[in-house]
Amino acid sequence: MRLSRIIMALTAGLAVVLAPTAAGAALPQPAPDSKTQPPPDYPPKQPTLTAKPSTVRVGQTVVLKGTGCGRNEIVDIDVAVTPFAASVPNQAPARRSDGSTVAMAAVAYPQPAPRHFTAKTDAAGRFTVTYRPTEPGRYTFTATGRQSGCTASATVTVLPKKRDGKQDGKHLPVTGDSMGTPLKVGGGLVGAGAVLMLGSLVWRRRNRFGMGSTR
Amino acid sequence: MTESGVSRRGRRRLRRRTRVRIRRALLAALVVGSLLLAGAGWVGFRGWQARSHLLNAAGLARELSAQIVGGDTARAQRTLAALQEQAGAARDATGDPAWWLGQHSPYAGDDLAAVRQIAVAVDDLARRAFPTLLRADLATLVPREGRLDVARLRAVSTELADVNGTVRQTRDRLAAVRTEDLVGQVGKALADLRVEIDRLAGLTGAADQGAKVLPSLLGADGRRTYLLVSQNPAELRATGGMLGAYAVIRADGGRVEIVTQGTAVDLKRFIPPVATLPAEMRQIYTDLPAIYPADVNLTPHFPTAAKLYREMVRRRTGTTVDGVLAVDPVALSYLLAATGPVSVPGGPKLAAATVVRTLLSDAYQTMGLKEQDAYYAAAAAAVFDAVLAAKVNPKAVLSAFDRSMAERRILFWSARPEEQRIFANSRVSGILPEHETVPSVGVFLNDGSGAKLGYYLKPTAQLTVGECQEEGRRQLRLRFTLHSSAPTSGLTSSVLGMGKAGDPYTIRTLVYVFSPAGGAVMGARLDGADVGLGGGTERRRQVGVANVEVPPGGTRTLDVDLLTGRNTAGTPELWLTPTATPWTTQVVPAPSCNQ
Repeated sequence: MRLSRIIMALTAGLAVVLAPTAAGAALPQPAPDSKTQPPPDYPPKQPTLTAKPSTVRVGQTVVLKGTGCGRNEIVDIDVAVTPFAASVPNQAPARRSDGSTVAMAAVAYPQPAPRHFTAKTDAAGRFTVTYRPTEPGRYTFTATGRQSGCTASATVTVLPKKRDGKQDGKHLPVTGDSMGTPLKVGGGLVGAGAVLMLGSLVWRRRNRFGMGSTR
Repeated sequence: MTESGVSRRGRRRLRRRTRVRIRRALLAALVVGSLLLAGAGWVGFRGWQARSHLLNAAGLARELSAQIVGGDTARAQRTLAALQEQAGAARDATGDPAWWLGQHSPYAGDDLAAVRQIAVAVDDLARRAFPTLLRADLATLVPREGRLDVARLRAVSTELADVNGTVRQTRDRLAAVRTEDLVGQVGKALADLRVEIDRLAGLTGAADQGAKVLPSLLGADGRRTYLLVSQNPAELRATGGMLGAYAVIRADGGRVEIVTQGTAVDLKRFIPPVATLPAEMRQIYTDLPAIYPADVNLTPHFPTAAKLYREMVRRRTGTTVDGVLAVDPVALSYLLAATGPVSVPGGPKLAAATVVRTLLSDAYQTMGLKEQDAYYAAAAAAVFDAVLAAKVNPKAVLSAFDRSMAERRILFWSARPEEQRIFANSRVSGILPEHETVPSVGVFLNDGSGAKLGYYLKPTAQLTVGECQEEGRRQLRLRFTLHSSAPTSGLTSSVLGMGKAGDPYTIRTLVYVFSPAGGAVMGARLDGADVGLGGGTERRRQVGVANVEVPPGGTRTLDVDLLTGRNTAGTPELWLTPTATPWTTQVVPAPSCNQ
């Protein structure tokens, strides 16, 4: 069966001829050339906006931390929410166990979470804000500094509230298949055979020795 | 008295008659019982025979594939003969009238029928699929003197189509067997065989399509040009390493040759960027992948990287290629194991055991920039010649490729959508799937120091399956550690590079953890302390980005909690950046939530 994988390898058969150029794998890093524009360095930077934690349930709090903006600057934070795809059970009307529908929309969250807010950086260009989402979905936070123009974004997944905290995390016991059927059949046959054998033996003995007969 | 005598006699007669009746009934029952027992015993005996034949056959099939890959044709023929005999015997054992009757009995009938189907399936494969696979002489498919035999390839393609047909037929027949009431052992055997045959069908299907498309890839229907790029794991990128040297290659009628060579340095940078990246990507990687050739593969999704690199080469050289092939020095080391050591004029010899060190560490330490370039070009030419030499064992070369592809060290993207579709399900495509049946967690590393210290990194990953959650989701726990064996002094500036982590010997690695498709990254701890993650979403996966800086000799531990998508099942898989020093990985499974 691995053979077919080998044959698949042939689809990269070109490489047989060409791979040696991999010898050129190690190459000098791109030297920072001296063009006039100030483009970013090529190494990727560490994230400048982080979320802690990255996934919460509706009603829980996310801490957003930003770095790399100007000092004492106002930072605009925009929130874009992408709802989960349709098949979310919680998007459907909540139901009681008897099947009746429960209306639970506006009651729980009279005040939806804002889609735009601001933060102010400290002397080191850092800021920390908290956010409490009110509906499930993927939240993308984009921070933009008003003076420095710094931008950064982070994503948080917001899951629906737990319907009933009790059940969470409980495994059902694991059940496996058994040899039940063949054992039953085999055992039954053997048992029947044994009963018949014993029966016939007893019968013959009784006849031979006249036991239980008045003859 | 007489009255009592008569009644006693009558009673005796009655008793005797009853006794005779009981005796007859018992005798009849005894005969029927014995017959049943004998029948069951016979079927059981044949079943036991079939079982041992099937077990033998399974072992032989495994041996056979190893021998075919190893190129041991004579032995493979013998193994195939033995396999056919065992499979045939199993089929016979389950083909006699008692077995047929048994199949129609209650309780055990469906089990017997299933065993019969298994025996027939294995026998069909042994007689109709394996011999063709064995006949297809792979050796003729490896290039000789820079050329692949396109005509021969087309012939093999026809044979593969036949094999694929047989395998598919067998799979469909097995799929029709009902499994609901099967005994544990038989049910399991059938399920295992189905999995195995599904995989075989997937592979023969892919091989079939691959063999069909390979001739045109090699220029049988018109000249093709490709970019061959090398990934440099000394400076890590998600798909393996920074794309460094490249070569433009021409394939024409099966003959393949290098047209030009260049390096990423020649491509410089692109302002404005060569493409407008989707918002989703810019959020994670900014515009870097479309500005620097060194950053196109910050994303683990290879087609994106390949498209960007192709465009960059087009802008600088005017050549529009038909596809991009990426390889790394570890794949090269597997190849050198097949060719033997290769000497390079003006530099150290290349050998399988030392090539990674020579290229990723020594060259930076001992040579200047110009010298390095000359050495790499000479090395490429030398290995090129060695692989094309007639003495090389073609099967060893194929095994080297098989391993490299399994480790994702060879990636290919075709600019033609109809060809790209054929590779889509294979590892060689480097496609990060948006939908999956078995959840996969990606751990991808991008160097953030701007240095060539990746050679000193040793990563490990442990993935533990956790609690069952609502909506059929499952919690997963990833423990990632990164160890640096870098020295504390003595490295040259071409190794230390920009030293973005502050201390030039400390390696900054940006770790991109990709949740399973449709899943989520929950949160992370670095060395036990909660950390916030940057990131976004890519290809329906939430991405968490953490900065992990490792001092020389140090180890950092990043724990990440994840959620699978809805209603996924099966043991999750890890998808990792291939590194110079291989990963140590472990997946700790748990029982399914539905049970």
